[in-house]
Amino acid sequence: MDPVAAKFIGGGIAVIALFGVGIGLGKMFSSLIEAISRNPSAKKDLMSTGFTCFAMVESVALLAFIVAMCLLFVV
Amino acid sequence: MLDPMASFEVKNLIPIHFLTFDLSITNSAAYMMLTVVMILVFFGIGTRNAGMIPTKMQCVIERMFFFIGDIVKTNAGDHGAKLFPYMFSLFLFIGIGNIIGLLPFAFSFTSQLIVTIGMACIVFVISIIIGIYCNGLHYFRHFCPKGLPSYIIPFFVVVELISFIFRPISLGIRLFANIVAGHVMIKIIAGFAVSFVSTVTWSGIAIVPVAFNVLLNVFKLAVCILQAYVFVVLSCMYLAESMAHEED
Repeated sequence: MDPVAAKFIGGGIAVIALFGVGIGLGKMFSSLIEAISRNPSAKKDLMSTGFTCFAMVESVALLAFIVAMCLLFVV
Repeated sequence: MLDPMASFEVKNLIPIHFLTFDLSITNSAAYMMLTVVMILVFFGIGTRNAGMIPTKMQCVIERMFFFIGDIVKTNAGDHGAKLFPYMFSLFLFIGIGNIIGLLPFAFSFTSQLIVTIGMACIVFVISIIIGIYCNGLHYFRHFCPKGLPSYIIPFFVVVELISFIFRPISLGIRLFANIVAGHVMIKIIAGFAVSFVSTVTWSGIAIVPVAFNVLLNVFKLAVCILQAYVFVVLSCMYLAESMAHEED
C-alpha cells in the first residue's frame, strides 16, 4: 500500500476510539441527570464529580486524537 | 501558513548557556513568567486594601480561594489543609496559563508535553515523599493490602504498580491533549473559513465557520478552567491518599 495512503487510513482508524467515548459520555451524563432529578439537593456535589468524570472520559478521546495527529503530522 | 501545529513551536528568544546546560529563555518560559507576574500583580492589587468589607477584586480572589478550599477539603479531608497553598498556586498557574493561550497570537505553555508531564511528575514525587514521611516504610503496604488471598498477591501488586506509575503520565497527557486538541480544532475550522473566502462564489458561507469558532472559543474557555480544576482535584486525591494512615 502507498505509505501516504496508509498514514491517512491509520489516522481515520485511530479515532474509532470515539465510539466508546460517545457511549461512555452518554451513559455518564444520563446517570448524572437521573441522579440529580432523584435528589436535586445533592446537585452541587454531583456536578463536581460529574465534571471530573467527564474530563476523564474525554481524555480517552483526546488520546485518540493525539495518536491521529501523530500519524498525520509526525510520522 | 495554514499548518495547525505552527503555534506550538518553541522559539528561542534569549539564548543563555550556563556551563553545559541550556537555560535559554524560550517563548514558553516567557509566557510562564508572564503568568506568574500576572498572578502576583492581580493578587497584589486585589488584596492591597483588604478589609472586612471586600472590594470588587477582593471578592473575586476570595471566591477563588474558597473554591479551591472546598476542593481540598472534600478530597483530602481536614488534615489536607497543608496542601492548600500548593493546590491554589497549581490551579492559578494552569488556569491562567491556559486562558492566556486562548488570546490570538499567544503561546499556551500547557500545550508542551514537557511542561504538563513535568508538573505531574512534581505531584508524583511529592506524593511519594509525603507518603514515606507520614507513614514510614508502611507506605509501601499500600501496594499489597492485608487480607488478600496469597495466590492473588502477585497480580495485585503488578496491577497496582502499573496504575501507580501511569498516574503522572495520564495526569500530564490529559491536560496537554485537551489544550492541543482545542487549539488545533479552532485553527482547522478557521482554515475552513479561509478556503471558503478564497472561492469567490461561496465566500458568504465563510461566516458559518467563523460563528462556530466563536462558540468553540467559549467552550475552550470552559475547558481551560475545567482542566485546571481536574488537575487540582486529581493531584489532591493522590496526595491525600499517600497522606492517609492505613488502618490496621
